[in-house]
Amino acid sequence: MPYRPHSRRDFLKTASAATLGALAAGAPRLFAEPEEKITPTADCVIVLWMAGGMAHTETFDPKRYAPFEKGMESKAVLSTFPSIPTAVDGVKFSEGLEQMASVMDRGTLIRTAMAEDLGFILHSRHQFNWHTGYVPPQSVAAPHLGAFIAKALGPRDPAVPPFINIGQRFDLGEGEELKAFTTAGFLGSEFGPFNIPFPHDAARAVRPPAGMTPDRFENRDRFYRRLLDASPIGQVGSQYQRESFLRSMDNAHRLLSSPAAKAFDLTLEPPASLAKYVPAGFDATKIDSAKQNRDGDYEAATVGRFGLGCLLARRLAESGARYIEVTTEYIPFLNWDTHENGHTRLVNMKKMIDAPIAQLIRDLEERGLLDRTLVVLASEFSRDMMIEGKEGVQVRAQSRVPDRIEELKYYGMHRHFTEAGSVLLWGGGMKRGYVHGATADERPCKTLRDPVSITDLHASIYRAVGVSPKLSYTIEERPFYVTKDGKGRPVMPLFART
Amino acid sequence: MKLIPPMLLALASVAVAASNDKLPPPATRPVDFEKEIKPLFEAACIKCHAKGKDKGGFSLETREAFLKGGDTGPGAVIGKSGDSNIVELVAGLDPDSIMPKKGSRWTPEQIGLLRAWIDQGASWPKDITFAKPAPLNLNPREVAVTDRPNLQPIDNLLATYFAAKGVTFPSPVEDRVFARRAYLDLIGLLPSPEQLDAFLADPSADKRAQLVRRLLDDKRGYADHWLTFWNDLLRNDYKGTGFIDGGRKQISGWLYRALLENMPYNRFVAELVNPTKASEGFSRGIIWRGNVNASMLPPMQAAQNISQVFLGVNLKCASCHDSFINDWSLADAYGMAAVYSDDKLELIHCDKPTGKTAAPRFLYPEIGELDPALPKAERLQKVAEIITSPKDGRLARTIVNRLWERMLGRGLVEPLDDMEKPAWNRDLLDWLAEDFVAHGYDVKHTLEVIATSHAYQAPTVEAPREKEEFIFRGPQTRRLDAEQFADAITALADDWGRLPSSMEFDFTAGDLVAGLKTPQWIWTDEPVQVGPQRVAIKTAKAALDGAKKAASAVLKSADTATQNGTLTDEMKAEVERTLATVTAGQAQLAEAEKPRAASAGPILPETDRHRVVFRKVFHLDAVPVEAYAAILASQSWQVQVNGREVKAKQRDGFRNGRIALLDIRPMLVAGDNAIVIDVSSHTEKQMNDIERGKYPGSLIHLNPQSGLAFYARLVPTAGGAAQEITTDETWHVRRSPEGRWGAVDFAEGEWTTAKALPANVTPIDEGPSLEPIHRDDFANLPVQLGSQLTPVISTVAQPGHIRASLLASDPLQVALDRPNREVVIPARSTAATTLQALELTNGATLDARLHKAAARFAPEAASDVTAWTDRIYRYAFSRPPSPTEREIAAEMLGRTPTTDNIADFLWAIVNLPEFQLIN
Repeated sequence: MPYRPHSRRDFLKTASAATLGALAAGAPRLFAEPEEKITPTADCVIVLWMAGGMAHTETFDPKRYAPFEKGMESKAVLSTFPSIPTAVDGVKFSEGLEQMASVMDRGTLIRTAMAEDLGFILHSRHQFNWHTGYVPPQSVAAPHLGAFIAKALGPRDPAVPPFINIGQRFDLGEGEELKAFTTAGFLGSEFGPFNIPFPHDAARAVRPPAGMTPDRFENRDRFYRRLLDASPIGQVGSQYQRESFLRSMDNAHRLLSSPAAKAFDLTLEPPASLAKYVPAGFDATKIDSAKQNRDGDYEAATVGRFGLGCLLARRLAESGARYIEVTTEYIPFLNWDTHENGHTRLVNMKKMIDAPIAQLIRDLEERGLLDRTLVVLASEFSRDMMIEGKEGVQVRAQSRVPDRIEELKYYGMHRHFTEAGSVLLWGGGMKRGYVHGATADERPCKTLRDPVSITDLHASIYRAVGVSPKLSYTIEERPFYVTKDGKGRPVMPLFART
Repeated sequence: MKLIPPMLLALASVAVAASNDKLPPPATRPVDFEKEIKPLFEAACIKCHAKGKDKGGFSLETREAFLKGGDTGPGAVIGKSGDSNIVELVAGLDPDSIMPKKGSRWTPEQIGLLRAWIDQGASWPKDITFAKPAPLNLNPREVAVTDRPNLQPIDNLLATYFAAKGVTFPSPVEDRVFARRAYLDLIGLLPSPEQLDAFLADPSADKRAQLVRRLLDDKRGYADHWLTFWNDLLRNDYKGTGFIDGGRKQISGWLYRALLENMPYNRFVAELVNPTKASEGFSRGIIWRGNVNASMLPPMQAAQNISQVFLGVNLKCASCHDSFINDWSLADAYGMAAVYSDDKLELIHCDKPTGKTAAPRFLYPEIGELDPALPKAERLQKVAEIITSPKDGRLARTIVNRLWERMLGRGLVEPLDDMEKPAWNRDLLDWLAEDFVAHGYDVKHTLEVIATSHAYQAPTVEAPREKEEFIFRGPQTRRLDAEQFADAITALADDWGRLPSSMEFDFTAGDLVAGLKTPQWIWTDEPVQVGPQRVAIKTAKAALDGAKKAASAVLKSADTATQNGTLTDEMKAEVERTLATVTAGQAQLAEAEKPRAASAGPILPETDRHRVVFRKVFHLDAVPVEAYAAILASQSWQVQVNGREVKAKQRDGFRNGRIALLDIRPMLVAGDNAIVIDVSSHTEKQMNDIERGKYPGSLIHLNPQSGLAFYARLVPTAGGAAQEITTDETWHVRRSPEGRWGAVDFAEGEWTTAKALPANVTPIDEGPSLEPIHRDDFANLPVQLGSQLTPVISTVAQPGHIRASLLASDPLQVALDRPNREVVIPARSTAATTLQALELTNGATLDARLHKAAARFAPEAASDVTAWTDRIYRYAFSRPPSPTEREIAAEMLGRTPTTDNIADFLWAIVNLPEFQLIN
């Protein structure tokens, strides 16, 4: 039996009753904590997902510019772009993000988002961790953040699916791993994602199948209802099942024929407004053919695709969606997953996100929606030139970095880094023009103070929509919390009013 | 042993009086333990300090344990309640350690009672304990069924139950309802109108029992349907997380065979608990790269899954900490996990190491002790014996409860995975379990007993509302699962898949396919290293390595001795001896490496990229109606038929797809045909990557030789005798020139005949799942793939339909709640949701299927709309349409229906609740 001195207890016996009373009053007690009542500051959440690992030093937390020189030491590489000013004094972004810099005065920047230490290798594991709050694998199917919010709050508009997921395909590399967390898990498919891999094609998701005219669709439904009335339904099935059946058909029909369905149709957007989201000459139909070209053409071809996703998110937020996620799309070794050519590819990635995100913020503000819409930009982890994961940790199968750089392709942030990362928040009750935390100015540019864990970031997002981080749902008779083990704590300095 | 400095002791003794002042006074009347103290303990203490749990080392299961106390000393001092640990704790003397930790604090009156009880001698009758109760539903129990000899036992027991509950025994549903239910429940398909009519017309009295037997005897229908149930339960799938880097294995081949052959359940479980290569995918769990919670390490996954699936025990909470929802402790979970651990397993409490090592232990030592000293292989064998022993009544109860739920919509015990809960009819559960065991653990037998009972044939009833007491009155309405729905639609469209999504299904099992011609492995004309030689080389290498190690150690000590001037003659001799061993080892290796059975013909110089082409020319009188082929190759391959490239329809899950299924029919012509297959080792880029060390230990193919097995089955006319084309020594082979290779017109003289793998090489049975192939394993690849040959060619030859359960999921099935099988799924959600309805209304999958069906039906529907409508109604609902329905259908379809009309009508039919529910 382990020895435990009880001098404290024995000592307390000598204390006066008054002292004991005073001590007891402040004693920590582990009562089942009542779920606190939280006044929401947001009704809608838009997550802009920088899939593949976005380097903070190349984007929203630039450091000293170390221009490319043939033969330079690899470890001397710091930011590969110069910094630019933002709308907030003293806050700088990396070159190529000028438009986002111009809306920084409306946002909050977390410089110290910490990815968990999972062994650093598989992107989809970290994405699972970010999106569910839990480390895979789990013994029950863990729900996505969007599913939790859909379940906790329900749809904002009964005709619009509460959780809409834009821009990710599941038939490419690690697709199965992505599916594992892009799900409502044990909450049931009712709260699962409404997936729209191609935003230009979103209208098709809520439109009758190809070749079906509106008249025919209405006709089909009319006959369906007549056959339904005629069938000996009273004798068939339980009342509950019949009712849920018919309700679901009604809901689907309502969305298809509702005004909200128009939100999905990007052709209804005025050309002038559309142009603010996509570059001139963008041809959505080319995306498919560009598919998995690893030479960089893919990114060029998809610049406008993410822009369309942002535009679709804005339209859906206007029409009553609850949770929307727009991703730059995760495909191994593409987009933000820069294991080579980090510098040159980031030029393109910035083109992909800069204008549309800034425009999304401006549009939401202009429409008076920004106050009640929380926009979150995040990534599964950051990147560094030399370090894989955490300082001092040796990781298998990391990308090769030569001691000296002779070719441009080695210039950039090519290794996964978990000791700092940037997250941007706009609206939904967050402060404006605020920067949280600080990172080191020299490599490795890790967190110096005020780290924000995924769990606490989630707690902050939940708090904004009025959900306690301790909210739980029962699965197999045990509680499963919206933040890891119910331990998330909102980062209160992020909020404008507390 | 407590070590309290004398100073503090003095303080403490002074303090007693003071502390007594702060405690509520003891009650002044006699206190009764059972009536007054026991309820207090039950409310406040036993959750953490009884039923096998002893937080802080303290248990109050018995009086002795209570008095003995825990880490902080005795629980109580008899006669001195003021000095008793427990009194101080519940009184909250130390604000940092108040008991109970959770829940409301004790009132002064309650503390007074406790004090008085301690002061009065803490009497506690011996027969009252808070020990873990004997687990429910564990020991086998015979149930005598004697009351009503004319009823079968299920109905007999239920008659007693109904009488007690005041429920009238329901009368059976009519034949058509029964038929639809039995078909869907036993083989997962709707009865066709012809099957239905034959059944309705059958005058025999026991036709229902006959139908049940007939359906259960349909090996393939049964296996295809129950595959879904088992895939969910054993979380087996063809795609999913973990496959990406070999962190997961399918058991598809093993499972399908087990179902086709109706493997007795005790053997089935034993083979999953103590697995073969083919069945190890279940207990191996899913391994993702990177760090994993201690509670999800593979041995713990095995413990969780085996306990949940076979014993109805939830260990998931107890994998991190003593469970709050049941009596399982962290030590229990780790005991079970340790069974599957290769190394010593340390108990981790909520990700914090405890320093304690788990001893392998079976969950219920009362039904079988496990010697913790056994090595892993024997341990697994022992656990398999215990879990399937007749003493384990839980195994049978858990599975019959699952079967009952499948057939009647609700388990005898709910939840299905919590078999420690009481059944709503214990006799029925126990009788079913005993009967199952008495019939050799035959799942089909139990299904037959259930399906022929009046209980199963009763009309469906509503599920009880929440919090309403459950009273069994008949089966609950169930919904078609995603696979049943997909199959029903596919059957309508007659658009069955030809190839499954896994290469592991062996259709020779259950004699579905027989008499296949087996292809031979053919090789280049270059010398090959085959199995025995590889083994010899490996052995020689190992011996040489050992000799070198020994020699260098001896040399080192000799060196030291030389420096110190202490070198002896014995040492010198020892050096000579070890060096001689090395020389001998080198010679042995050289001998082993000598080419064996070198064939005649030129030996081509080694190049960094080896590519050969195999060729077969054959004659066809006419283009066949079907021509599928299987290829198994040692490395990357490309197939051309008559100069046209053939793309794989299915590949195995690994890079470069060494196994694939092809459809070669579109390339075939009447007359001479040539199949040309290029098999090449790594590409130049791969070579560079290897040089750069980019893929250390990865799946890059480095074999300098190329080998191939190929099987094609050409069916000349529907139902005609198939022509098989297989690799053998009549095939030709040549080294491929760089660049163009695919044409069939290489000069004849450049070809030589292929060599078949020597007949005396026995393929090593690696099991159906492919391990990642590493470089040094490569030369043996055809031998390793040997066991895969039969499943793959049997897939080409299988004549039937591929059902949804053998295919990967699609958006329609996902919407209908087909789960991704990352975790064990005991029962699926049956809720109808908006997302489902959207998929049903707009989804491309259903729409495409219905249009295919419409095109197929168009002529039939056009010739007689009424007859066709009737047929669809009978097919979909097992009943003819009513006059009203006929009218609506006629109006909807028009006099000569277009395919759009037909598709819309079918859409309406399959979306009616009557179609989607099992009534």
